Order: sequence, then structure tokens, then C-alpha cells
Amino acid sequence: MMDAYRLAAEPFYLPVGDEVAQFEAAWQARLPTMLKGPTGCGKTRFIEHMAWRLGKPLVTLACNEDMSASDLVGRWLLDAGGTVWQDGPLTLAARHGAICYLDEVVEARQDTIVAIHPLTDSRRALPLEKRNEVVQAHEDFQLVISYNPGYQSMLKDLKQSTRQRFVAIDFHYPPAEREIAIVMHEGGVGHDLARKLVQVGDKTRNLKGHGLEEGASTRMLVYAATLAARGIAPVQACRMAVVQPLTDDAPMQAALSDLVLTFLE
Amino acid sequence: MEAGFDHAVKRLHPYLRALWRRELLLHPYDRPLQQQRPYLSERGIHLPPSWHAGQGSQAFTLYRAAATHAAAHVAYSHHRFERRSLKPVQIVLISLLEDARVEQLASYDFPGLRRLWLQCFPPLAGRDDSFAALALRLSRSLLDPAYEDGNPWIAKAKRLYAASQAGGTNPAALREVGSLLGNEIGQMRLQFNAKTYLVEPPYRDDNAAIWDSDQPPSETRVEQQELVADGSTGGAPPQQSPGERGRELSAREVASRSGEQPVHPLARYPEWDSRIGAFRPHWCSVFEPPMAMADPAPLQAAMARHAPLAARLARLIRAHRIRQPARLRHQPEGDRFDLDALVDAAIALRAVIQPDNRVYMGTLHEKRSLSALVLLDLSASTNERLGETSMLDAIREAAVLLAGAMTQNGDRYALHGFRSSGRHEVNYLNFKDFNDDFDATTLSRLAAVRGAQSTRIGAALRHATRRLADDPGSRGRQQLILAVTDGEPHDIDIFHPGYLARDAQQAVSAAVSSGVHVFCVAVDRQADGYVHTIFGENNYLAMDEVADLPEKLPGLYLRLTR
Repeated sequence: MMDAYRLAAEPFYLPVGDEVAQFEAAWQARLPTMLKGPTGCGKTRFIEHMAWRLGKPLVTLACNEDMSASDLVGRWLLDAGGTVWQDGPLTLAARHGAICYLDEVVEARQDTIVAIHPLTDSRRALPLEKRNEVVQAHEDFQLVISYNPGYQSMLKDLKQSTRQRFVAIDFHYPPAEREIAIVMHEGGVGHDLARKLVQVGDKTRNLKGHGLEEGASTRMLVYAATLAARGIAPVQACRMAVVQPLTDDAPMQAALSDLVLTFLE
Repeated sequence: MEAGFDHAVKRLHPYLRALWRRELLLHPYDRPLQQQRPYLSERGIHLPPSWHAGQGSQAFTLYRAAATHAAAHVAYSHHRFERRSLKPVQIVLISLLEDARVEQLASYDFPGLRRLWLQCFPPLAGRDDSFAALALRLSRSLLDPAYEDGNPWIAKAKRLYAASQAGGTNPAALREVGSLLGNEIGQMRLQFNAKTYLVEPPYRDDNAAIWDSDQPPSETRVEQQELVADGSTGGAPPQQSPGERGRELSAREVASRSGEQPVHPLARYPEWDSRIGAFRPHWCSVFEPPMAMADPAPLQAAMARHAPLAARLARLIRAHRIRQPARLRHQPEGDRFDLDALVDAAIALRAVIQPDNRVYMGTLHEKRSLSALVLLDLSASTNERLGETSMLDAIREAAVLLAGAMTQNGDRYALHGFRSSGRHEVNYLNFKDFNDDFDATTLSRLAAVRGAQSTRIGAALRHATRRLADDPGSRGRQQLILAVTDGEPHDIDIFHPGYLARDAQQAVSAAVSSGVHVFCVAVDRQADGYVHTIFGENNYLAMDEVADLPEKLPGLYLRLTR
């Protein structure tokens, strides 16, 4: 039933600190877990890696504003024989035992997020009032959410009543040596180019809050490396993967291009 | 492409910040007619207002080279050389070697800089063995490992330099090398005129900053003396700095002249005294003085310049709205089935009861329910002119654009301002209240306002929080206070650094715990410290360029409330 949600091959993940042990401890106690960190620093890859490592299926759901509680929990559908109940991804994971990963959970509306509450306390149960059923969570079920604390929007923040149900693992951009290794592995480039890309990325992060909402993520650097490995000149690859996506502001783009030229030619 | 100072600075500020993770302020020359090379002062890096040598991108290359070279001095030139008995030619050569040393260190960290600086060297001319030509070729050969020069003096200089730095980078050792090389120049009977000599290539600064000097730079000295001579302080207690005091006094005069006299206090608020760790009750008196009016024509004219920006914002808001639909379920008509309603209907049909025929789904532009109070800092410092515009102009224009965006968004909002002159006189100015329309009166009030007095932001934030709470129309809405400021809080009766910031921090946390979001836009390059203290992580935006405020403020508002 859940085979489609199992990962076939090991997703590449290079640990930065103690996060694997921390997650394993949280998993053993089935504690709801929050992965905190800026965009593109490896949260999603980490959870895929952990699901593979623990041998558990992973149900991923990217949250958005239009998502309703039914999209999480499930709904009745109509077929030839009448109505049938269709489990939503959250119910599916709770019923059959999977890690349920809600990506960018702040994007969902508050009334949707509330649906996860009963699963995150000692009850570990999901009431389906439309079906008049209480789903007792499978012993392998764990709820994991990801959350970017640097997101500047007053209307989108996690309520305390939600936050306090989770343990949190803090993610940051990896230290230079690790990030170089990641860019080399994922982007398929040599050490020298990877090192330069990581230097560029690291410097853009000095501009967070000074014209940029965020610095370049590890993912962006991997993209730049990927393009370079496919024959795009490194400077151009940085423009495509880093400078242009980061900002629309012309002087800032120019400054970032200068920055790229300071490390690459 | 333009390549004047203003254009270059916009591009260089973020660039330097990215490279060195520190605030390096760029200024034009103080005396552009006399100054011919970039220089460093305690205010920052000074660059020419324009560069005659090149056009377009070539001139920008010079700006970038000059800024990074000076920044390299800031980062790596920590040794101060003493002049003592050195001859001018020796000073020039020691400076040249120090230039080479910092460039070498910088190129090690940032490899692209070597290429950039080499671009600024003039093409090699024929054999010219004047001192200036030799010095320039020496600079090149120290920067460019691929460059070979046949001159024995240069070869020797290169060897001595390398030997002096062999045991790790060592500025002090350059003194001996430079002295020796200078003596040789003397023995070679080469002409050197210290009066006419200019460091080459032109991107390099005059290197005055690396030499010990008994006299501090002149401009700060003069300012302080003028202020001490100003006898109009009466019995006023000493201020944090003379500069502050001078500003406050003139601010008072401005205020009394413009007729903005306070009436009776509207409210008294406590203030957090961080020295005793307690609130001082009924400490600050807040007034809402009657508002002066002025002809709004100049402001309207200024707004006309922003017409393309306003149009862009309007488009952005429309696009933004379309992306924010609300679903209406159980509609009698619509473009999609409402699956849940359809299923209910099918069940009803099978159960042979009358089905509900409202099985469609509609979309509606979500009604936003937001109530925002914009709180503008109108202290004397906003009068400062920065290039073509003053902070006050930028605040006003930004406020008008923001008001347009808010109106279009259908948000409930008020436009307020504040300034203070001691704890007994915190003035809270009302340009537009929640129930008012944004109209000619609002514009006239905005046009009349002048920067005056100081910034006691804590009391203003407490009053703003109360104004939001007292507005019946704001109940049940998301509430936001958006503060716009240009500098650290200060007031004439406060001598304790950080006191007002800590009080403001208390005011913000009180507002937040009553359910009000507080966000700040600070137009101040040095804002990070205190704005972070007051408003907290993610709740502020520090901005470098005043001129960007009209564009950035409405954009920020839309992002914040999306």
C-alpha cells in the first residue's frame, strides 16, 4: 500500500552536525519535529535521507494558501456505486505508518494547520468527523514540518499553539568545506569551481537584510554548478542561477555580478 | 551607462558589504577641486564625484578598483607608519609597498580583484625611466606575477619586498625596504618632486591614512569648535555629543517659529528605565498639536515624478489580488463543481430526498482585514539634505505612495508622525486618521511638516498602540504599526546610550503582546544594532539609500501583508 512512498535509492545527504542523531532520537519517541532553516539549505533532502535511513515511507505535502483541511485529511468522492471515502495524505500516513512531511507549513492557513493538532499530542489520533471515525495513528507515524524563520510576513507565522507541539532541529547553510563537497557531488563540478561558487554564495549572505531577503542558498549554488557542468561558462551560470533569481533590483544585480567576477572569470 | 559617483555608490555599497561584511561608507570628495586621489577619513572612503579618465563601464571599473583598494586598506592596514626622519621619496615608496601588500592579501581572499586592479594600469609605454614611470612599473610588477621588468632597481625592489614578507605578511618590515629603495633613487639622480607627485594608477588612495598624523582630520575639529562657541544653550545639561545639541537647539527654534505649539497633554505614558530596571510611571507626556497646513502643490509636483512607480504599484496590487482568491462554496452557480456539495446532492438523490442544488464553487477576491498605523519619524535629522533630496522629502513621498497602495488594497490605515523635546513634550502628529479619507487636507498637512526636535520613539509607539486599540473599526482585524525612522532614538534629556532603545523595546513587546504587529523601516546604514534591539529579528528593514524609500516602502508593505 505504501510502497509508492518508499524511497528507492539513498538520497545524498552530507550531515553538517548532530542532526541525524537528533532526528533519530525524536523518531524513536515519535515526537513531532520541526525543521527550521532558510530556504534551500537542505531540509527536504534531510527528511528524505532520514526516511530512507529508517526504512519508512515518506508522504510529502507542499503547503499552500488554498489548501483546506480536507486536502490534508480526506474527503468523500462519488463513484458509480455511490460515495467512497478517500484518505488525504495526512490520514494515509497516520493509518498506514509513514513519516508525513508538511513542507513550508506557514504557507497553509491557520484553520488548515489546526487539523494536525490532535496528531501531535499524546492522543496521536486523527478524528475524521465527516466519516465518524477516529484514526489511531500507526506506530510508525511521525509528523514533520519545515519552517523558514526568516520569512518576513506578519500574516504568516506559526501560532504558539502550533509551535509548542514540536521539537525543532535547526538548519543553516553548511560550513564552507561541507558546502563545497555538496556542490561537487550534486552539481558534478571539480573542487576548484565548487570552492569559488561557495565563496560567492557565502558573500551574498552578508547582504541578507541589506537589500536581499535571503542570501544564495546551497540549492542555488548546486544549480549554478549543474549549469556549469553542462557547458555554461561559470560566470554566466552564476548569473542564471544566483544573480537573476535573487533580485530584480538593477543596482543590486550589478553588485552581485561584480561579486561573481571577483571570484570567477 | 552613467558612471558618476551616485550611480557607482548604489552598486558598490552592497558589493563591499558582501565582500567584507562590514559597513564601508562611500562619500564624494569634500573639496573636489583640490583633491585628486581617493582618500580615507574616519567617515569612510572618499571617491571623486566623477572620473574624467574613462567613460561608462571604464569609469565604473575605476570606482570599483578605488573602493576595493581603499577597503583593503581598511581591512588589512592596521600598522601606522611614523614619518620621523623619512624623506618624501621614501614615504612614497613605503606607501607603494604597503599598497602592494594589502592588494596581495586582498587578491588572496578575492582572486578577481587582482584582475580588476590590473585593468586600471595604463598600457606599457616605451622605456621611460623617470621616477614616476619606475614607481608605476614597480607597482605593476608587485601586483602581476606574470609581469617581468628588465630594470635592475625594480628587480631589486621586488626581491627585497619578497624577502621582507617571506616570514608572513609584515607591514613594519616595509619601512626598511622603502628607505633603502628611496636612497637608491637619490643615488640614481632621479628627479622627484613631492609637491607635484600623484600616486598612480589613479584608483589608489593618497595613503595619508597609513601614516601617523598629529592632527586629526580638519572637518570634525571645526564643527566642534563652532558648537562650543554657540552660547544659546542656557542652563541645558550637556548632551551626548556637541553635534546632537546643536541640532536639537535649532530644531526647537524651527518648531517655535512654525507655530506648532503643544496644547495640553493628551496622555501620559510610563517609560522603561533600564538603569533601575523598572518603569517610571506617568513619565512622558504626549500631545497631539493642531496640524499646520501648506500648499500641497510642491508635494504634488514631486508625486508626479513618481507616477510610473505609482502605476507599477497599482499593477502589482491588482496582480497580487488576483493571486489571492477566496473560495465560495455551495454556490447556486459558478465555474467549478463544489465536490463536497455535489456528493451531498448525490447522496440526497439516492436517499430520495430533495437535493440541495447549490453544488458550484465560486471565487472571490479575499477581503483583507488589516488595520495599519504608519508612524513617521519627523525629528530634526530628517531635514538633512542627501544629494538632491532630504530624508523628509523621501518620507513624505513614500507616505503618499504607501497611502495610495493601502487605499487601493482596501486596508484601514492612519498616517501619523512623532517628534519629541524631552519627556514633557512628545508631539504626536496626525496627518490622516483611520476614519479620514486621504485627501487634500492630508496632503496639505504633509506638505506643511518640517523636521524638528528629537526621536523619543518609545512614547510614540505606546501612543500608537493605544490609538489602534481605541479605533473601533480596527477591532477584529490584523493590526500593524509600521514605523519609519532615520536614526537611533535620542532626546535632549537623555544622556545614557541605549536608554531610549531599551525603552522602545519594552514598548514594542507590549504592543506585540496586545496582538499588534510592529515593523520598522530604518534609513540608516548603521541601523542594525539598535533597530534589532528595538524591533527584533525579522521585524525591521535597514535601508542604505534615502532615495529608495519611496519605492521600497510600499513594496515592503505589500510583502509584509501578503
